[in-house]
Amino acid sequence: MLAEKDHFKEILIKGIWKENPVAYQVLGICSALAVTVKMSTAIVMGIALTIVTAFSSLIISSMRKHIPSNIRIIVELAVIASLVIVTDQILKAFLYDISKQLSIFVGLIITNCIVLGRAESFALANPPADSFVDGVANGIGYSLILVCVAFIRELLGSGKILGFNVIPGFLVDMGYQNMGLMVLAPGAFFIIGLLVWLKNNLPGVSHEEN
Amino acid sequence: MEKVNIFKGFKTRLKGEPDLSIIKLPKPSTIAVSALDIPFIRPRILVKDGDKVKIGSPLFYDKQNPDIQYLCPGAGVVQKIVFGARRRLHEVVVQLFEKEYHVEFESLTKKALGTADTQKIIDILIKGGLWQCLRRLPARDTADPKIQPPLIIVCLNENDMFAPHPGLYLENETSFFELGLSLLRKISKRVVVAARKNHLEKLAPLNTNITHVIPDLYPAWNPGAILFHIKKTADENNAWYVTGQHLLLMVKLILTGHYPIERIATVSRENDKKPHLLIRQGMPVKSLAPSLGKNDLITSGMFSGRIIAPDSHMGFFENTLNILKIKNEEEFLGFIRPGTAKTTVSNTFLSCLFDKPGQADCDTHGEERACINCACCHRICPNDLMPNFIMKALHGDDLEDALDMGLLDCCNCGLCSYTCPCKIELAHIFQDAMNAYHKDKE
Amino acid sequence: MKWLKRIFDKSEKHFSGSGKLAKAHALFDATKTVFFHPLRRTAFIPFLRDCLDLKRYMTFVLISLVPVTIFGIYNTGYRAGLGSGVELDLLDSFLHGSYYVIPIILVSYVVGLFWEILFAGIRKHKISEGFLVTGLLFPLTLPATIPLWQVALGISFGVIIGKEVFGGTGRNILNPALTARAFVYFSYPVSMSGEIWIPNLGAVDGMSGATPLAVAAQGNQSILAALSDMGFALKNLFWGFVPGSIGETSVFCIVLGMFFLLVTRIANFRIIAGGIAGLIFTAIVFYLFGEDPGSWIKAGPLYHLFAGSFLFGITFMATDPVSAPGTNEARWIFGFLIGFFTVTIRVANPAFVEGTMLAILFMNVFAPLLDHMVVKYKVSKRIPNV
Ligand code: SF4
Ligand code: SF4
Repeated sequence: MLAEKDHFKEILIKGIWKENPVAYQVLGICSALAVTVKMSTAIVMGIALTIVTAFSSLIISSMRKHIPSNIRIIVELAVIASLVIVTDQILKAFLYDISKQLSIFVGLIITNCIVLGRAESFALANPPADSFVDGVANGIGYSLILVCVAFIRELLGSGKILGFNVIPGFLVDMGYQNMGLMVLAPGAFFIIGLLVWLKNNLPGVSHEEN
Repeated sequence: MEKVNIFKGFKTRLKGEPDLSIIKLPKPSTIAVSALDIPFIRPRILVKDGDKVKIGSPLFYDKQNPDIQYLCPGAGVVQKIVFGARRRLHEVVVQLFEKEYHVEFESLTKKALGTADTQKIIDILIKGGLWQCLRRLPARDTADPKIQPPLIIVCLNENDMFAPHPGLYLENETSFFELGLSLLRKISKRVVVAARKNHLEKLAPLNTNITHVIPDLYPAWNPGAILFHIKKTADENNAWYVTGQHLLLMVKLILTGHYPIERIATVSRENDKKPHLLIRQGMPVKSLAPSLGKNDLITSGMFSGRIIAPDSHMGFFENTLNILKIKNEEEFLGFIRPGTAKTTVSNTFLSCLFDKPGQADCDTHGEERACINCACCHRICPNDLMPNFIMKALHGDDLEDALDMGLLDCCNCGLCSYTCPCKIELAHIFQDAMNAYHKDKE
Repeated sequence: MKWLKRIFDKSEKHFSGSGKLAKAHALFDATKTVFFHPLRRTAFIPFLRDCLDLKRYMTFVLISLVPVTIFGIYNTGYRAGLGSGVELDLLDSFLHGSYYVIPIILVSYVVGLFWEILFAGIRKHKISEGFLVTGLLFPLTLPATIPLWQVALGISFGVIIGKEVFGGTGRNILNPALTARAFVYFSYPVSMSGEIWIPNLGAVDGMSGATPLAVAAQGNQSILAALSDMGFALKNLFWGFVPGSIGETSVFCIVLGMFFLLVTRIANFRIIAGGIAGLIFTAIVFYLFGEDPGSWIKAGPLYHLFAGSFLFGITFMATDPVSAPGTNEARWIFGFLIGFFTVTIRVANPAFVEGTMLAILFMNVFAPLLDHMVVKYKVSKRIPNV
């Protein structure tokens, strides 16, 4: 039982930190650029992706012995697509505003490399429980980076956190300006790049020895 | 006479050019054969301390090619054999006798030389320890007697700017020189004799033998540079070369049957005007340059020689000494001074406005930095290489790329390192890479 | 100067090995080598070396920037005076200008140097002289009214993203000063184009554009007429008595600097000549085939050359050897395309009137590719030797 727990913990740590999908595997960059202008969208996107990855990994893993390998991509996509559509509909029903801001990016989770990547590289070779944990871990890892980036971009780019103004008035009076670059896509590139750099090179934080 | 068009090179003049008189140096007490100036040699020693040797007795040979022996240029007893780090042979020192004896080699008369077959001449040269005067480009290893070279270049000037003037050592030796050329023609179909433009006047008796005229610009007389500018096809890359002095020695060996020991050498020091010196092979450095400062750097060629220790001896291939000084005082705010007396090929010092000969010193004049891609090195490379790109290719372990860009065309003149404002050791890097490549191929 | 030497020698021990200030060794070393060039014997061929080193190389770029800087200070003061309705004399303008410009330059140097020392300390290499140039070039591309904290952020971005992430001077692909400017330009567009003091010249009231490039003619007026109405006659542009970024206004002073750089061969003439040729060619093409008489399409080559920061950029930024190509043929192409893109961006996209910066950065990215092509071509011409 204990070993089991350690085992899951290891998968979690690997997915969230060591082999973080954005920072280490460099997957899912496109959506990370697109939805990180504001934190609210980033969080919702993160949750949506976590759910989709977790369940798609679970389902595909449980079917893994029955899928013929030459049509596996089709099967995987069918599973993922159904999950995405369900998620999209739920968002539309309960979080209409945010789902509008996320626009096609929820739909595009289907093509998000993380989902398919985990299904291909992990779920097809591991039992369902492991795959589920792996999906959750990767989803959280993705969300973590997304939220970090969105936090920095929203704070610097529009002076807000989760939509609330946080720049004190006197600073603005003294001449503070928002950093326009952060609202543009290159801003996200720089932030992600710097985060990856920090993660991989900062002594004490980095898991890579060099 | 064909003109070789070499436009790029070292255009600044330097102080310390030797004048054209000759003095004979007295007989030294010791002489030595050095192994340090012989490229790629793996020596096996044939003598031990206390052995008696004659002029022409072999002292050591090359393990890769046991026929190639290095002979003793004096008669006496072996005084000591000097080894360096990892038991690398530095030199074999011989204490000279008052009266010296020769080993007798086979000799030919002038007439016999004309009709002798090639193999015979080659044999005499190998036995007489002078075959190694013929070197093969691009690695400059000893020429292989079993191969017929595409062409042989006779370089009247040696590596350095102030190397012995050919007009002096060829004076009254025209017939020997012509014999030498006929000898080379037996070995190769094509023989190129290249002379500096300014030397033509002094070489007047030889003018009919000179096939190529090269501009008076360091390193235009470097065999690598000459070859680069006259070659038409890829098989000429492995041309051989021999220096004018060595060619004369070869002829003398064949005609007399004695190992020739006399050479003409120069010593250059910044403010002196020294004469040419008539020396013996392997003389002690101290007897050529008696008064040395503590910080002086002695080299056998400012741009492309090696550093010579003050208490060692001249090498088989070396006929030049340069004494380079270094200032004792660090200069205050040196990087912003107008610099009316600085030696430079750039346009950033006032001295570039005057045509005064510059001082040569052995200071690096700055610290090493990363390459800034200024292409100063390309601007000066006589063989039109792009040293910065080759260096980067080598840095990334991409030897293929470096070879494509012409690494082996590098004539090791050292000008790229000379001019680099970031003080990158380009020429050294290339030399290392070329040597490693050559050893790999062997 | 013996006493100074003695001070350095004495304090050396604190900065090296286990000394108290060993972390600041890079700084100590940089300061010391500024005053006393270190003597080192050559160890490899060739045994003598040229007297030119990177310190002198970079110092010469600084010297070439002196006229531009001085004029920039003067012009800033003069503009500021006009803005508040007084015409200042030479000395007053100068003092007034210093009040605006000197802090910007200082902030740029101090903040930039902080990062340089930090990275030099971490990476254990020497502080590269390239920074001296970046630290001055960047402020000269800014308007005098820029808030100082934006200067600090800009130079930090330039040094870190533009240079240090690549490994420091010599390994960067973008010009750090331009990267810094681009950052400020996109982050704080208001500061970059906004309230530069604009003289009230009577003819046109309530002008919005700050620099000549932002001028667009109204009605049937031609662009040239509109420009000279606003005080942007060719003569003014040449001497530089117009509003604009600190260093870019005076064509005359830039040409002085350019001349110095060309004579000393610090800058490569091919880049500059190629750039001017590209600009003139493109401007003529637009002039001949363009339609709209009221826009910069019809301004003609001279106006394109003199207005805005093209000359400044091509002289001081594009010739930065690190980010420019290293082969001669590639340099012509590099320069030419900078000229081409400058005009194209100016004409085609009025939102980015300052096309030079984008053109140079864009071509910086392509410099290695141009080099690669030229090298490949040259290799194919060579008699192989393997
Ligand atoms: S001279 Fe030195 S710094 Fe300039 S390109 Fe060549 S190697 Fe690089
Ligand atoms: S690369 Fe350097 S050493 Fe080689 S030929 Fe060119 S300048 Fe001389």
